[in-house]
Amino acid sequence: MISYFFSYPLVKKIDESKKEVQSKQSELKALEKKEEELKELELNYRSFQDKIDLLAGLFPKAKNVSDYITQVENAASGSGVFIKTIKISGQTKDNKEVDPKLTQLSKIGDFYELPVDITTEPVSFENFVNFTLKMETLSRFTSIKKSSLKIDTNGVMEGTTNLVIYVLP
Amino acid sequence: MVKVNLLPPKERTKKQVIKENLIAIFLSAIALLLIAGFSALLFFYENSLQGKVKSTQSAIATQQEKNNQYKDVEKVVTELNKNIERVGTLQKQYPKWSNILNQIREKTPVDIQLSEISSPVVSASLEKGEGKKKAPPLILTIKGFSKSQYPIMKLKEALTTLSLFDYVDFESSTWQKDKAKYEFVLKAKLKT
Repeated sequence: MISYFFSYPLVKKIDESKKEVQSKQSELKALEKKEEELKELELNYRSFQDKIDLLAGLFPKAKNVSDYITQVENAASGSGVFIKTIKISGQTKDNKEVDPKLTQLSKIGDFYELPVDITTEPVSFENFVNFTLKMETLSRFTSIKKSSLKIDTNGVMEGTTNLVIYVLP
Repeated sequence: MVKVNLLPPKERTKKQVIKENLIAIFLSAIALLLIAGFSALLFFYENSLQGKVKSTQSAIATQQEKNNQYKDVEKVVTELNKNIERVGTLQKQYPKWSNILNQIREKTPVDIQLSEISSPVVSASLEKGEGKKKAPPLILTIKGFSKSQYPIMKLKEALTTLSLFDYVDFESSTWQKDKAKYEFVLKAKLKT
C-alpha cells in the first residue's frame, strides 16, 4: 500500500515522459525526413533553373507591355504577318486605390488579366495560322480568346486576335 | 522447518516477545529499503527520460533551423507548382486557335475560297465566380465562295468529322453575280 502511494505518481510521470519522448522523436523523424526532401528539392531546383525562369516569365509581376509588344512584333515578322493595330482593351481605372502598375488590369482569382486586341494583315491563311501558333507559344503566357480572319471585297485579308496576358503582382 | 508459537500471549516469555519484535523491525526495515530502492530507481528512470525529452527537443530545434535554410527554395518551388497548375487551368479555358484554323485549312477543298472565319466577341459574357471563369460556347462562322454547291457540302462533311466541333450547320449559299460564285455560310459549334 505504502509502495503504491510512493511509486504511483512516479510511474504516472514516467508514462507521460515516455509518451512525450515518443512524440518528440516522431516529430524529429518527420523533420529529418523533410530535410531530405528539401535537399532533394534544392538539387532538382538547381538543375531545373532554366525551366523555373521560363515558368516565372509566363506570369510576370508587372504589366511589361513593352516587352510583350516586342514579342508580338517578332512573332508577326517571323510569320509574314503585318500588324495593323495593337490595342489594350482594358480600361484605365483612374482612382487612388489602383496601383499605378496595375492600371488597365482586371483581377481574376489570384492574378490580373490584361486584354489585348491585335489586328493583322496576313499575306495568306497559312501565315495567319503560323502567327497564331507563335502567339500561343510566346515566353509570356497568352490566352487567345478569339481569332478571326476575313477577306474584304478588295481581296485584302484581315486577321483579328483577341487575347489576354497575365500579371502576378 | 517453520516454528509456530501456538501458546497464548500471556504464556509467551519476554525473550520471545523481544525476538519477535526484532524480527518485525528487521522485516519492516527491509521492506522500507526495498520501497526506497524501487522509488529511487523510478526517480532515476524518470530523470533519464526527462533528459531524453530535453535532448530531443534541442535536436528538433536544430533540425528546424536546418530546414529553415531551405525556406526560399520551398517558396520558389511552391510558386512554381502554382504556375504549372495555372498554365494547366488557363490552357483548358480557351481553345487552341492555331489548331482550329489549321484543321479548317486542311479540310478545305481546293475549289473553295474561304473569306471569313469568325466568332462572336467574348468579353462581358464570361461567367465570373470564385476566381474561376467559364467561357461561353463559341460558334464559328465560316464563310467562303464556291463555283458549285458540291464543294460546300464536301467542306461541311469534312468539318463534321473533326473532333473540334459539336456540330457543323449549313446556313446559306447565295449566288453572287459579280463573282460568279456561291457565297456560303457554315456555323460550327466548338467543343468546350
